[in-house]
Amino acid sequence: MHIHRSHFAILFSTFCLAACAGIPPHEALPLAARDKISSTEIVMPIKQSEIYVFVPDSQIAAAGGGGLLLALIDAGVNDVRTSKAEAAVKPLRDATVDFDFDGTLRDDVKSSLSAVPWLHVSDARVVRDISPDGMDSVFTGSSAGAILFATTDYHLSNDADTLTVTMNASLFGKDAALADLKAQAKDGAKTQLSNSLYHNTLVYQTTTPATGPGDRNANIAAWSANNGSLMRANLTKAAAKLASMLADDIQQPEGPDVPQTTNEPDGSLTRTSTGTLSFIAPSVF
Amino acid sequence: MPKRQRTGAAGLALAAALAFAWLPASAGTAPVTLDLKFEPPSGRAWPEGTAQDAGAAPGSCHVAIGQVSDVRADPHALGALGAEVFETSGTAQWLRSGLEDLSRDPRIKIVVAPEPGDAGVVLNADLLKAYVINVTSETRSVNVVARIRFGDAGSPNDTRIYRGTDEAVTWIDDSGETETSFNTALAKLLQAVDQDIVARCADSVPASGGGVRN
Repeated sequence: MHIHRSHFAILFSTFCLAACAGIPPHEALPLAARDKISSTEIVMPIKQSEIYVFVPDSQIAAAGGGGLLLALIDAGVNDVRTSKAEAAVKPLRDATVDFDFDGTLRDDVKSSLSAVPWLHVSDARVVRDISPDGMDSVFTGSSAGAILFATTDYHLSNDADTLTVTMNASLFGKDAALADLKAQAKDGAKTQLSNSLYHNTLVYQTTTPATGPGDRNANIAAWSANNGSLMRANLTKAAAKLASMLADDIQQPEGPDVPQTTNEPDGSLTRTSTGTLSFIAPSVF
Repeated sequence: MPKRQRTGAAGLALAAALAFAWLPASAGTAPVTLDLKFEPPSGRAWPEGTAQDAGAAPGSCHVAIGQVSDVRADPHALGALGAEVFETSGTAQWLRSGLEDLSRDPRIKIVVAPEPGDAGVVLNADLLKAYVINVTSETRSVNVVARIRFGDAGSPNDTRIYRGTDEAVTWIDDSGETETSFNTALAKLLQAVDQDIVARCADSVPASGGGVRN
């Protein structure tokens, strides 16, 4: 089965980045862990409080060989880009100010994972602190046998055409029987990825149907119309889909990841050769 | 399916890059605690436009500040800049002190409760959002959002949502500059509150209902 060109990009990118850190992008949960999980607490670190528009850094200094003057020009360009992007996204934030994406995702993930009986899901909560210290603090303070982190980000592309929701999931054993299944790093954070029994990256993407690439203000207007109904609907769908993808993925047996694209009624799901998952959906409306 | 195809390779590559921004997170940093104390913008009069209503006598608009709460799920969280996470305590007191500073508008007098027959308003406030994010690697944006319930003599009858923002380049001091941005954003939010309070006192109450005042 061939891989869509766009999925090659995610494969390539994740491979490069993960390889630099020496950690494969996807590690399946060992089968032996299933009967050793007494309880699982789901913790969802979500740094942001509202949606944002991705703005690329100015690269004038990099292209020009560096130097203070070019760095200052970069700062000026970034300042202008920031002001424009934040002004543009404000109507969308205002239109969705009462939309509780955190709670929606939390409830969906808890519901989906509760259907996996051997996880014994005990609780699910959202935290804002995504720092290693913060995650270690959560890990240390939890009374569960395992902690599943689902660090989530949602944003619009620079032209506000594409909505991307990314979930980085990782499960850590706290009970000794679980922790013994994976050699733990002697140094660094307890919740560093290399200590996890399972981890993967799940991506959900969709585009606004109304306008098209390039026109940020028009795209924001489309997402914002009718009290942000388009954004609310798509974020709701993204939450449900990612929760479902996570529940399926954590039950995947160990073994080589087989690249595969599956057309589903609501979009196309691709597993790359590194095991990461991406779902591309048409907009809800 | 032309729309779906517009979700391009670059977008997914970017998503993957952002996704793996978690990998180097093993270099830990403890959250930075900001000691938020409201200070109006320096170098200019605040609130602005206080001399526009020539008909209002000084101190004639009595404002009673009732309950001020931080209703966010995590009232300590203030967002992050890169790997630096910010938190605080006492955001409700920060918002209250800002509301009390509206007495800098000579038309407004902060009172415990309006006397019968006074031109005045009672307000209660909920802090809905207060956060900083990176927009580019060297720029930040702070957003502060509050819900104000206006009422007369303790019977809230109108709710409005206000947003204040500040965007800036972070040059040297993440903490100090971020604190300044929070105060600037709150000052902008309160500027709109000030205008609405004065309008209420003048019996020209703005229409209630949806929308966010910026």
